[in-house]
This record gives sequence, C-alpha cells and structure tokens, in this order.
Amino acid sequence: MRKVLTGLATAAMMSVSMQTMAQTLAVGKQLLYLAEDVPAGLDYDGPSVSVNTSQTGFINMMDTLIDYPLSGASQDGIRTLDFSRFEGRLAESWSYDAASLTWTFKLRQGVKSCAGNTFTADDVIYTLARGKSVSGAAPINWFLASLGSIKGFDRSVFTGGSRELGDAVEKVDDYTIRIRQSSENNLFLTVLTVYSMAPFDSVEMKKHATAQDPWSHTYANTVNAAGFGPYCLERWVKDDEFVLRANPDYYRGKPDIDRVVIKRVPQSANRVLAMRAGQAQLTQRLAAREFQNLATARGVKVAGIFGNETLVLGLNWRTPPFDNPKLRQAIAYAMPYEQLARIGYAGAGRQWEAHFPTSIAGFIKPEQQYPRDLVRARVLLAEAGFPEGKGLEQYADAFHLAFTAERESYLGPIATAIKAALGDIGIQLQIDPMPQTQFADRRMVKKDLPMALSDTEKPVGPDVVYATRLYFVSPQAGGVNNITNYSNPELDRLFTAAQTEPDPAKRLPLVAQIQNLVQSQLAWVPLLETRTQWAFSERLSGLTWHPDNSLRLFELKLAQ
Amino acid sequence: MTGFVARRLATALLQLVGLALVVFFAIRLLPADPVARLVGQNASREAYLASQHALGLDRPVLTQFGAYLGALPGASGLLQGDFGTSWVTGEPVAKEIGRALPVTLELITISFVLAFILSVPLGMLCALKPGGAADNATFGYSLFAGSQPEFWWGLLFIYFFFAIMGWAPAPLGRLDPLSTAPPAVTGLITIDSLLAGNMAAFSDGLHHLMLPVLTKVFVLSGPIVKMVRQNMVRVLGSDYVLFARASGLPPGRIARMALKNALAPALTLLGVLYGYILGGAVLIETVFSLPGIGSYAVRSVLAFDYPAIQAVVLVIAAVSLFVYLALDIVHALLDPRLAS
Amino acid sequence: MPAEPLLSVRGLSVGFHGAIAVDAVDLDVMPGEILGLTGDSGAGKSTLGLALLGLTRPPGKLLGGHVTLEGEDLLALPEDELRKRRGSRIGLIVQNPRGALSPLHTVGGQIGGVLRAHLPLGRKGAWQRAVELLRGLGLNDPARRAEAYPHEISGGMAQRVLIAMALGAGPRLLVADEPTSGLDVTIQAQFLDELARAARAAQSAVLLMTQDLGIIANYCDRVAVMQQGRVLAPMSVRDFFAAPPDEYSRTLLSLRREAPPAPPAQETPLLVAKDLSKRFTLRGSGKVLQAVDRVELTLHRGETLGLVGESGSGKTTVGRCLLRLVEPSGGSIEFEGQDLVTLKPAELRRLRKRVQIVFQDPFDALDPRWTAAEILGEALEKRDPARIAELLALVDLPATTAAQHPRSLSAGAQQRLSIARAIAAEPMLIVLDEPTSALTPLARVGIVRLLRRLQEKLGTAYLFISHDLNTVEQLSHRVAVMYLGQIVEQGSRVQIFEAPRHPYARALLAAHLAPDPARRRIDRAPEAALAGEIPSPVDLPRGCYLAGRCPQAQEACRTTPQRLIALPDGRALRCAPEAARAMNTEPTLIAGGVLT
Repeated sequence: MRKVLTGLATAAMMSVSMQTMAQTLAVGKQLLYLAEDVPAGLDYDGPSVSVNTSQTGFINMMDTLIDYPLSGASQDGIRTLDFSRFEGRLAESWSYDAASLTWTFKLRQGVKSCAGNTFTADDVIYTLARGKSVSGAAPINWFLASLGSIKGFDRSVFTGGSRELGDAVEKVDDYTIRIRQSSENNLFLTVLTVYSMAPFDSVEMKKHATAQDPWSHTYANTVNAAGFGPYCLERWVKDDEFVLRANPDYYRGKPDIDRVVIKRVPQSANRVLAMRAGQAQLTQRLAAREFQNLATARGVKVAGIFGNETLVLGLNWRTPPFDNPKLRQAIAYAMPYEQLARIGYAGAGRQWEAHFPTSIAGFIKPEQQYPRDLVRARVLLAEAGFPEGKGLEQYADAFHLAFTAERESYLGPIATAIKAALGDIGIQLQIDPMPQTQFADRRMVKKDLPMALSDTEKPVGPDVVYATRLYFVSPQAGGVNNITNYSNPELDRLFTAAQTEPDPAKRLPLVAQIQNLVQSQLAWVPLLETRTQWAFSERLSGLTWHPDNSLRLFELKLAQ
Repeated sequence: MTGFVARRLATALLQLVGLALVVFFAIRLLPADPVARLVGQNASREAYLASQHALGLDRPVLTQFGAYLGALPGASGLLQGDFGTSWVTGEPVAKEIGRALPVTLELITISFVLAFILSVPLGMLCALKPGGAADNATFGYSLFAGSQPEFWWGLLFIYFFFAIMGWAPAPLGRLDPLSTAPPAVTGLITIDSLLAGNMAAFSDGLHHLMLPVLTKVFVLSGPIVKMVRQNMVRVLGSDYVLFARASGLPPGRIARMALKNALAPALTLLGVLYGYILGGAVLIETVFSLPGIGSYAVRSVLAFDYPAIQAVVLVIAAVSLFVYLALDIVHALLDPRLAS
Repeated sequence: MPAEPLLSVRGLSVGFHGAIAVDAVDLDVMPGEILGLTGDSGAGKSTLGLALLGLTRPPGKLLGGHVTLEGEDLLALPEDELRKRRGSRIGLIVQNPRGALSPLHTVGGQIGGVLRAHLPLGRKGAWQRAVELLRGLGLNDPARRAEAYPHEISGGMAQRVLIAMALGAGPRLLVADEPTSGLDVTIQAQFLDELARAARAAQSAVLLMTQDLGIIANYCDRVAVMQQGRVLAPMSVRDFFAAPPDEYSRTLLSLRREAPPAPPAQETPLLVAKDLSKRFTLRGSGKVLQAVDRVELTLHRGETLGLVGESGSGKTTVGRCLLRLVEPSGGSIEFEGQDLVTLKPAELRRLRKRVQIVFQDPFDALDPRWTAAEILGEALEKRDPARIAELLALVDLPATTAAQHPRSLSAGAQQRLSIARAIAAEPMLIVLDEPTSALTPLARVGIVRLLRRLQEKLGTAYLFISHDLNTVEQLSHRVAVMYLGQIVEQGSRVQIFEAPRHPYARALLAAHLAPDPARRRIDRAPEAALAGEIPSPVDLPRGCYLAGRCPQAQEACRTTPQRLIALPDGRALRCAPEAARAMNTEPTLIAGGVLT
C-alpha cells in the first residue's frame, strides 16, 4: 500500500514539476511570494485600501509622479531611502512659484501602460478630478490632496461645495501641468509620493465608465489597477492568488523578475514550512519567533529594518486622570520597555525614544527621555496626587487597557506585562481586548477609549510635519487622527509655522521644537519601535523599505 | 413520497426566509461600526458620512431591509436573486460565494464519502465481534482521533507527510502556486480539470487534496464508526434478529438485514454532521490555505461586510437544509415507516 | 407399540451470570402431538424454547444437555449444521409478533427469505410460495398483503406471518411461545385453530408454551408444568385438569370450583344510562368516530354487570363516560336521582365519591412519588392511620405496605392498592376498566376473589369491563356484549355464556377458551365463524354493523339499522332475525319441551 501511495505521489510530483519547468522555460524568472492575504480590491479610493495586502497590489501596478531616492545605505541588508530629497518618476522635473502657490511639472515622455496607452497630462488631470469627486468608498486621494493643500481639496466637498476640479490643475501641454495650492504648505511633495496620488491610465479607465459609475470604481476595484507601473495583472483569484507579469515597456527598464505569484497562505506556520523547503522565495508577517526560527534555515535569509512600525500606549487626554501630566510621566517611567520587546517581538524591537519614527525626515532625538525608572515613577505618582496609587479608585473605569483581540497573540502578553509593571507602582489595571472593528470604531471615530495599545500608527508620509498633522494637531487646526485628543495651541502654532515655512533652514528648528514639545508632554506614551521583517531566499536581493511597508517588486533581483 | 418532499421543501423555504430576516436584523444590532473600518485613518466627519452613504447605512433600517429584499424599485435584491456586493471587495457576493463554496464542498464531500466507505464496514465488523481485537483497536482510535482538534491533526500531518516524508505537497492551496489552474466551470478542481482534459491539474489537485482529506477522514471516522457500531449492536440484540436466527437465515443475510436497520436511523445524524462540518470548515481551510466558504465567512464577519455575512448565512443554511432533505429522502426510502 | 419421541431433551441447562434459568430439563415430545407447557412467569419457558434451537438471549449461556431431534443431537452439531436445521426441522414462534419482524422489509420478503434459506427456490418462487402460505392461513388478498410492512399490519396478521415463516419450510417440531398474547378473543381462536390445523396437515408436533390454561385445555394433548427452571412430568390434559400436580395450577383452577356469585336479592336500579353516545372527530381527515352509539345500561345495587367486547367495541369509553372522565356527546346518566351529564362541576365532584374507577395498568394509575398511605390518604381526604390500616387489611395487603412506594409492590399488590383507594370513599359503584389484563393469571385469581369478597361485604355495584371472558364469568351477574359502540346483546350470565343468540356474541363465546377439557374447541366442528376482521370504527355502514361478516346476514340486515329489542326472558338483543326466531321458539319452550 505504501509503495502504491509513494508511487502515486512521486508520479504526481513529477508531472507537476515538469509542468512548472515547462512554464519556467517559457516565462523567465518567477517569484513565489507567500502572504497572509492577497489583494481584496485594487482601487486606492475603494473599500479595500485599508487592507495592507491590497496596497501591495496597486502599488506595484501604478507609479507616482515623484518618489524618494535610494540613500545608498542599508540596515541589515534592507536598503533605505533618503527622505530629505525627491526623485522624479512619472514627473521628470518640477518648479515652484511661491507667489502664485503653483507647482509646474514636466511629465516624462514615452511611458507606456500595460494596456499600451501613453502617459500624458490628461492622466494626471483625470486622477485629481476623480479624487475631488469623492465618489469612491473611501476618499483617500482627496484626503492626501487636502493634506498637501491642493486647491479645492477641503472639507467643503462634503458640505455642498463643488466637486469639480476647476482650476486647481491646469494643462499647459501634453507633458506639462500646473497644480495650484490653496495655501503655503510644504507637505505638497511629500503627499505626491504616496500611492493614492498615483495617476490612472485615463484612456483605459474611461473605457469602463458607466452612467452609474462614471469614475470606473467598480472596474478599478474588482478588475484591474490601470496605471503606469512596472507590473501588469495576469491573474487574480480573490482570497487565493494574485499573479503579476512584468511590463516589458516599463520606463525604468524591464523588471528582473518576470512573473510574481502572490499566494494567500493564512497560516504563518505553513509559510515557514514552504520557505524552509525552498518552495517559496519571499514571505512576511510571521510571528517574531518564526522569523527567529527561519533565520537558521538553509538558503533562507531573515532581515528587517526599523521603519515606521511602532507600539504606542495611548492615554486619552479627555479622560481624567490622564489629563494629569505627572501621572502620564509616572506611567512612562514605569514601562518595562526591554521586557515588552522581548515578550512581544522576540527581541525585534527597542524602546521608542521619541514620538516619531527614527527613519523619517527631520527626526531628532528629543531631550526628555523616559528610561525605565521605578523610583522616579513612584515619586512622580505621589507628586501627581496619588501616592502609591491611592485615590485612583474613583477612576477605575479609566484604567481599562484596550487592544485588538485579533492580535492577542502578542498584544496580550504585552498588556499583561504593562499591567504588572503599573501594579508595581500601585496602579491597578484591567485588560480589555475587543474585536477589531469595535476597537477601530471607538478609537478613531468616537475617540473615547481611555487607554489603548496600538501598533497601526505608520505615517505613510515620512516627514515629521506630516506625522504631526496626522497625530498631534488638534482638529480645529487641521489635525486628522488625533487619537489621544491631545490639544495644545502651542503645538498647533508650531505646526502651522513649520508647514508654511518655505526656508528649510528655518524649518528645522521648528520641527525640533515640535518633537521636544510632544515628548516632554507625552502626547502619547511611546513604547517600542519594532522591526519590519521579511524572510526571503538567499538568491533574492534588492529589498527596499518604503514608508507604506510594501515591497517594490521592481527593485527585487533573483539570482539563478 | 412526493407529498413528503413537497412539504419539506416548503418548510425549508420558510426557514430560509425566517433566517434572512433574523440575520439581517441581528447583525445590525452588533455594537461595532463597519463604516469605521473602511474609513480608517481618515476619520473626518464628512468622510465618515460619505462612506456611510456609499454603503447605504444612512437610510432607515426598514428601507435597507427593503433594498436587501429587492422590494425597492430600481434596485435588485434577494427576490431577484441578487445578494448584493461585498463591502470589502466591491464584487457581487454571489460571485464570491460561487468561487468559495465549491472549494469547501469538494473537500467535505470527498472526505465524507471516504469516511463513510471506511467507517461502515469497520463499525459492522466491531459490532459483530464486540470486545474483539478490531473492536478494541477501533475504540482506542476513535478516542485518540477525537482527543485533539482537527486543525492540530492537520498541522501534524503537514509536518509529518510534507516536511519530513516529502510525500505530500506544501499546504499552499489546491494546486501548485506556479501552475495554471483549469478554467473554472463548476469551481471543483477535480471536475474542472477533467472537463478541460488537463490531467496534470487533475492529479495535482488530488495530490493537494490528500492531506486535508486525510485530516478530515481521520477525525470524522471516529464518530461515524461509533454510531454504526452502536446501532448495529442494538439491532443485533433485537427480537427480529433473534427470530431471524431462529428461522435459520444464513449469517450473511442477517448481517445485511441488520445493517439496513442500523444505518437507517444513522442517516439523519449524518446529515447533521455534514452541516456541522460545513460550518467548521474554516479551520482546515486556514491550515491548508484553501480559499473556501469558511474562510470567506470569517473574513466577512471580521470585516463587518454585511451583505457577505447575510449571504453566507443563507447559503450555508440552504446547503445544510438541502443535505438534510436529501438524506431524509434516502432514509424514507429505506424506512417505510417514515413516508406514511 | 410405543412411538419414538420426535424430540428428546435430556439434562438441558441454561444459565445467566450465575443464576440458572433452565435446570437440567428432561422432556419428550411425541410426533404429531400438541404438548402444552405452562408455569408462572419467570419459570423459564421462553428460555427453554430458545434453548431447544440452540439459541439464548444474551448474556445467557447454554450450560449443557442434549436435544435430540429425530436421532440427531442438535447441541452437538457445529453452528453451520445447526443453522440449517433451524427453521427447516424445528421452528419457533415468539411472543411479540411485530417485534420479530424487521421493520424495513416487506412481510412477503421476510417469509420468502426464510423459504429461500431452506428450500431451493429463487426470489420469485419464494415470493409466490409466501403468498400461498398466507392464503392458506386465512388471509384474503394475500398478494397485496404480502407487500405490506410490519408497521402496517395488525397484530393478528403479524402472528400469521410468523406462522408462515416458522412453518414454511415444513419443520417437524414447532415451538410456540405465548403465540396469542395481545390478540383479541376471536382472533386468538382463529389463530390457534389455524396453527393446529396447519401443524396437523404437516404432521408436525407443537410445543405450546402459555400461561393461559384455557388454551391448554382446548388444544393440547398433554401438558407439563415448569417451575423455577424445572419441568414436572407431563400428563394427559384430562388428568391435569382433574388433579393439577402443582400449587400454581391448582390455584389457577381453584376459582372454577367455587360457586359463582349469587345475584342480590332485590333489584334496585342504581344507575340508568339512556342513549349514551360519544363521538370523536379525527384530526386531519375530519371523519367522525362513533365510539359509543346510544348505549342503554341499567346497574342495580350490589350487582356486577360485565361489559365485554373486543378492541374498538367502545366498552372503555362507556366506563369513562359514566364518570364523565370523557364528556358524553349525548344521552343521560341517571344516578341517585340526578342526571350526571348535566351536573355542575361542584356537584359532580361531590358525586365522584359515590362512583369510583379502577384502571387497567396500576403502575400508571398510582403516583410513583407517594407512599401507599399518602395515596389512600388522598382518597380519604385526610390521613387517618386507623382507616388506612383498615383499608389495607380489606384488600389483603400487609400493614407495612402503608410506607411503601408503588414501585416496590408487585403488579397484583399495586392493583389491590388501587382497589383500596377506590373503596376508601365508600362508593356505591365502582367501574373496573380491564383491571386484570395487566396481571399474570395467578394475580388475576387473587383480584377476582378479592372483588367478590368486597362486594359481599360492602354491597358495592361493579361495572366490570373486560375482554377476558373467564374473569367476567367468574364475577358477573349480568353481562352485556358490545360491538363497534353498540350493545348487541344483554342478559344474565347464564343466558349469555350458555346460550348466546346474537351472531357476534355467539362467535365471541365460541372463541372463548374455557379451561375445561370437556368441551375442547379443537375437537368440535368449527362453527360458522365470522369472516374477516373487525372493521375500522370510522365509516360505519347504515345497517347492522356486523352485516359484512355475519354468516346469517340477510339483505334487510345491510340496509336497516338494528334496534335493541327486549325479549321475554329478560334479554335485550340487537338482531331482528334472531329476535324473531327467539320469539317464535319461546312459547314452545315454555310449553314444555317441544323444540321447533
């Protein structure tokens, strides 16, 4: 019986490998990329945009106008970008007129999309018009454009204002456009590097427009991301696999890897097994221990970088007693940073010594630091008016530490360690895991969670000013995602000044002040910076970290 | 018999209608907010409202229900056979379910049939010689197989048969990821590859089905063997078997008569088991990276994708009801006492 | 020349986990004879029957002995050979006919299966043979009946199927274990007639095991008694009934030796039911079931009226109507000057004390959580230990019973307790609804004696409802016979039992198997029996309900509804032709003996 089974198995495997070989010979280099999910939708203004794996889809199929150059350095073998400079992609060059707040872009010529269409100014105009129409399920293009103060892209589109593009963008000729800003805002270029500003192939998109769906959202979401990127969609089976084929006419050269198969393998243990067996060449999002485990496997490399993934303890300013600064400091000094990195990330993390990721433009290490110091913590707690925690009983409801139940595997032990640490100084805490959607709802919409563990603060614009606007500026001053309800007019003022300051030399001290201010006030309690890691075959190289945490497949090289 | 079937179909239809009602209102009672999930980082009030409007959640509940049913003019809903579009992918839910359901059904049906073919003779054998070597061995096995959860066995088999022995392929889905799948006609890999004449895909598909089917059969056989054995023992101790022996019927004939009597009551239970396995398929699907209805259901629930949740509940219920009905018909054919 | 025994059993023993059920039994069965085996329940008769075929009910084991059939020791044969002989040389009929048939196979198929196991027949041939067998057993339309499933056939037909299976292959010896338990009186007689005839025709012997001495008396040539696993030497039937060898049989027969109860001196009417009717509407079909059809009854003080009939006769419903446990659809029940039917609930409750009921199954009728004292106390409306002790003594229960729960008591004792509860309130009338049917024959004797004694002492009237004619004969002063909701004949005990006139009553009494070997049914020429079986009580015809089955039916019978006609000798008769005949002969009898 065993012989029969072995015989059957061998025959099957042989036939399959023969088929694979045949395909390889015809195709060229292939990469099997195992992910926890495959893109659910390809419209960056669509419902799937918040799903990380969906981003990998359209990011590799569309190019932006500008991007960051390689810095030339690398961490652990992963290349990094230089966030202080910009490099042209679909745009060749640009200039700025401060008086009229207008940016003029010279677009690259001879760029062909997967559908065979040539990139022109019409595509940029189409893209921005589509963004302003806010017709998608999630208006991300509009949002980024508003962060860059592109004229007309503000809240008024939702409150009865015009949704026509108007004169925000002017076509000078087929390869020249002018974009107007509504106010001085030096986040403009930063915003243009983000995936949701990537131009669509308007010719292709218009082919699929209908009366009910004039901006082809259904097509973009469910069929194809029609852009001017290095890869074209070959095959897409939802919840199963996503196959990309290189665009031979890509303006930066034909990608080294001809065919990339992204396969959904939800069980991380299986991804590990497949990597070990050499069947796949790239994977991500394994548990910390699994990365450690794979690092010892033959033929497999594990590498990571401190990018913008962090762990934050948010204390709601509107919930007493968290409006008490000394209490906040006491908590910060009590945190067991090293232990958290060990138990939550198997050591692939370090204490986060600032409110901004180390990698972003404008980063300085703030003066005020909070190394673990229980003595200091107790003193501060007493100074706050709660010696040894007495008097905190009346705030029992506030001391519920919430986190997403789906990620309990590592957030759970972290929460427990925090509870123990605070217990050491006399603060009693309850742990409160809750479902993802409920957590998101309370944290981002209602903003009423008193204490929350969060690891989703990853600013896609790698700039201190951008991140400030996202997290620390009050809503009245244009803040967007202020999850701890931090409101400081001083910070708002500094931000506005920094955002509108045209001279980089004058901007730097403002940016430094911002960082020191939030750190000393503890707008939130930064816990850890965590490594973004990948496991990949030794034959694979060229991995580069981008702030959206998606790999650019174009940059990868697979040795034979 | 036709009256019996007609009555059951009518009841099933009523049940599905009731279910559609219940699930629609029940998920809207849940505390979390699907809009917030979509809106993500971009939590300005206006954006939130815009998203809410796009999803149709700003309308009164009854209007939403009307749209869901397809009772509103201009739109289509359940009555027209339209399950709506998924809020996560934007695709018609019916299409997604049409893709996911056959994957699970293929796995479960093959496993069930195999488990049945293996378990029934085994159960019979154990009942004919209670306390014998086969009986004790089977008892031990059924305790053992049921002692760990299914996915644990799945992982163990992967480790043993793939990682160590290399007999099974990597648990990366239904086919080798680098190969091309045959065009999807039914959604069942086995049938589709045969229809396309693609023998390589057929054998690859079977090869990839090996481990998941082995896991399911391993776990399923336990309760089925026990059930068959118990029923057989009861039947073998009955008066009519005693009388058959007293009448001098050959042992083979008695065994067959006893088996028929033992299996008939077990059939209904098998239907319930099938429905239960269908619901629990997500664990095996996750372990073996199969894009089946279980994973789809879980994804929909976690993402609060209302149309998908509603549709999945109805579809799984319909499949279960269909299976119950089919088995009940077989049961009524076997046991004339039921049809009257 | 002494014939060789067909079956010779020596030293047969069967044990269950240490207890011996059959204890070194020696027995001989002569060819062609019908040997009766009787004994109390638990004596081991069924176990012995199975053991003769080399079978036991698990966990029993054959401990030893020889069963020699026509020279071969069955128990010494290998299982294969023994199996061949089962059914073909020695057959078995078990007690519960429907339980012995596989519910999922047609009866024809099952008979055919047995035939094919022993005879060289194909499937079709076996089916046809099966149909022939059923026809021979008195079934009309056997081809259609053979396609029925066991749950679709009556008990009587099921038993016939069992005969077909047991006799089909022509065994030399048939072991019949209580073959008629649960069957109606007339069906029982038909069945036993057929069994005896079929056995005689096939020249097989029959080992007939039963507790019913009536069957023994009427059908068996010899009889043996089994007591606690041992079998006493067989004797001829006449010798047995003349002088029973064991205590058990003596007790059973003792009642027949006693004088029947004497009717009360005066006849004062106690309860008069006129035009009593009860209709049930069936759910689903909406048809009307006339359970009780304009019944007229008169009960006198201190007398027992026996109400007899088979299933569907309505006798139980009559009993319940009298107590208004079931609301009558029409008629009146006059009791002590009041009409029970129109009585208000409060007054009805008071009257309930004067009319009591004893049910068939004592275990169901007694609250299992209460002790006997509590049960009696409820009937007395207060717990009076003295009175409770008195009641227990009246029904011959030991005083310790007061503290016991019903489940600790035997069925007979439970029934006595029920009776005690009934007489606690000192009623004028007790309705006894099949009070002995659930009891063993031995317990029956005790209850009958008790009832007689109580009637003498307390002067209570009884309405004794039963299908067991033996007990009715031993208790009743007057008897009424019911058929399909109507009283077809009513008269004194002697009149009904000695000379019934109504064709149904005649058939019923003819089927009555009295434990008296002097008038054996098997020796008598079969009377013109009633055709077919009792029809469904729904959809009754216009004329006489018996017309379809009656051998004397005339044209007028089918169309004219029959009234209850009063005869000069005090009887009531619902049969116009018979009544006419009775009227004509009466003057002749009175005239002094010349019978026309």
